[in-house]
Amino acid sequence: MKKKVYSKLTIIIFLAPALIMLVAFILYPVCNTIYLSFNEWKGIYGSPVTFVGLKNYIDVLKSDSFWQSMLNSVFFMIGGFCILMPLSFGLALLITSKLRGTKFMKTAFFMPVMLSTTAVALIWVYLLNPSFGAVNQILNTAGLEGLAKDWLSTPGLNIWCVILVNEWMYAGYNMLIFAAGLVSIPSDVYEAAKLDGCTGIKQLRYISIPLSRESFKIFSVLCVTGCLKAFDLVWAMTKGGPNHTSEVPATLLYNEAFTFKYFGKSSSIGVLLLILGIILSVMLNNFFKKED
Amino acid sequence: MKRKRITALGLASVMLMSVTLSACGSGADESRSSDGNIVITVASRYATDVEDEKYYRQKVEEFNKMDNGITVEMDNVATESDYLDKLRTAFANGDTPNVFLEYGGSRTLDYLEADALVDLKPYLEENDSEWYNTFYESLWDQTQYDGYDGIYAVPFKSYMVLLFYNKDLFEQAGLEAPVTIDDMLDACAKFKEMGIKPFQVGEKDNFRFGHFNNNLIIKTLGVDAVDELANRELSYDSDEMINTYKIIEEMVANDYFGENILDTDQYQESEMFLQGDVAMHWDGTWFIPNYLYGSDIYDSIGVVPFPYGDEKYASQAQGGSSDMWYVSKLNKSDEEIEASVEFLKYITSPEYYTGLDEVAQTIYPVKYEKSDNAPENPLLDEALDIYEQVTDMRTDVQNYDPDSRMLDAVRSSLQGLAMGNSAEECAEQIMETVNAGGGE
Repeated sequence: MKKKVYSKLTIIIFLAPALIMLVAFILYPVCNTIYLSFNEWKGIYGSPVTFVGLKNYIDVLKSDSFWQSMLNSVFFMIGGFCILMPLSFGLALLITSKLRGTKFMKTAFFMPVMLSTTAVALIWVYLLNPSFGAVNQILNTAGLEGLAKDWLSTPGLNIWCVILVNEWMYAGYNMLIFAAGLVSIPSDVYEAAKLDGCTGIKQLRYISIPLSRESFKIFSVLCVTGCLKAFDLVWAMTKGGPNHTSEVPATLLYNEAFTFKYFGKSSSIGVLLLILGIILSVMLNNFFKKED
Repeated sequence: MKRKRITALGLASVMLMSVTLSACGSGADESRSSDGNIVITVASRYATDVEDEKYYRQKVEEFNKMDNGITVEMDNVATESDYLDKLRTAFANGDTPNVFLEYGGSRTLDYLEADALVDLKPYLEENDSEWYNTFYESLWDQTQYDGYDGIYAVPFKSYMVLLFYNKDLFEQAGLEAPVTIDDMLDACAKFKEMGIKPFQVGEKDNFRFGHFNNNLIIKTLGVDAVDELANRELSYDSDEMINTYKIIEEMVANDYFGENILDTDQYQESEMFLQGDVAMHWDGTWFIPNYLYGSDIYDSIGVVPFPYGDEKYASQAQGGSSDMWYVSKLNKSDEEIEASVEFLKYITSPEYYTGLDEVAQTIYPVKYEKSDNAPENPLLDEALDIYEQVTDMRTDVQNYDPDSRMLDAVRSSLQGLAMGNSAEECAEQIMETVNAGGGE
């Protein structure tokens, strides 16, 4: 009996550090955010927290800026699935192929991931500057003046510029996810397929893609949740502007809390994002389960 | 086996203790230094190498060397948005600086409503209002709030928005400095015709159009309109207000504000004006010490009041206290508050400004004796002449608004004009925020 208690105590004490961390840094902030989302609070220590029910949620769901930011998030997801996914998968095929120079390719493609987001943002802000940026200079030199734009200040175009920079930055990281899936496919599967006459594009369609399902699943979940919480690159490149045209939910949440001190409203945006993230992740899991 | 288990238990306990202790932090008295001095934290934006900010830091160091039992720890963050974010976070967790810089308006009203600010009136009125009387009377307006008895800040810097112009380019164009808004628009047309940029605006920092619109409002509708906008007697989508947006819309459409204005920031804008290729530039009086004084272009620059739209309001202007010091009482002891006031008295003394006048001359909020070592600065003298003729001033129009999001809402909507939005769309966008009633 004593031994059993002793053993349980050891388990509890061993688990405690991780549990304390989990409670302090994840559960408590989440619960506090949910609590604040039903209240008004000016974000000043000791100032009253007033219960307002669903008012913050109604205000958020009625505001144009929230839906504009959600639309930009949808653009991020479209970019993620239509550009980042094929690009990363293509790069993964390249670095797992038997071509020469794959070691160099691996390093080169992974390089942007190693740069800090602020550095990447600054590089691209300068490259895209309409007055002295390299992009417009190249277009002008090539006689394509008509294509030279004010990239980060034109509504509609600016968010796509940020999205493309995001894809450029994260292609190397996602390439590793797909590459890990591709190298785990046993070589005898390819050999058997080859004997059956399945090579080239057919091999890609019937072997590589279906057997990389787990990688696609991981990518999809990371992409959806990442797109919903996109903040740093947008903030560093456009700060959500001009005139809120490149705002995403996370920048909106930040502004509500830290610019306007509406912590309740900001928390309700956070909770909506959390719910949306969970729903989309579950849906994706179900989708991939059905495929299985 | 038993020993192993005891070792494991011991290790686990150490891990648990380290996690718990690291979360607890230090329980030492953080308001006292090792030599027994009271330590106060002063937050400001004075982190750059412009002369007045270097002078501020030097004076704080001198204060620390004085035998007064107070040690000041500076927390200087230059970028406005970063500074304000840090300050808000400090207020959210209750660990605020003792003294902090702010710009007044509804943002500080929130702190006042939360009972986080010290009423400085009793200190200002000590010894027959000795401290109070060192400041210009007109600047106290911004430190007081309706419904609250007391004075909650002391002015540190004051300013006025003026129109700077390149005399050489105006002479080349055969033009006089603009007096009215129509003169300014005519000058813009003439400069554009000559291939000279009338303005080059850095609207990436959206306060630029914000200030321009403030001046259009004050100079065409008068300072009363500022108060009427705040209490909603005058609507942001009224014809009078739409006319002010229309001036900006027209100037954008005619490229009078320069190229790629949404990708140009305020620093680039100032530098471009200093290069001598731009005819006009509106800015605060701080532009003289921070950019013009000592520059090659100094002798070619003239200064006039911002042009008026209605002659009745020619002597009114955007200006007032820009930077103000506030004292926090959130989790602060009486002796910390006393030390904070002591520091403020030092940093706003006439002696401080006499010294400052030698290194960075501009308009100050305090009456001081001019130093014999102060250099000649004819441009500032011109600005001071204009300042003396001003009958009434207001700072940023939305600073008087009870809704703290109006400043951002108006500036963002005005930024929309630079993207090609119409004056009506701009008004409509502002009204969305007005009608939302601030959200909370």
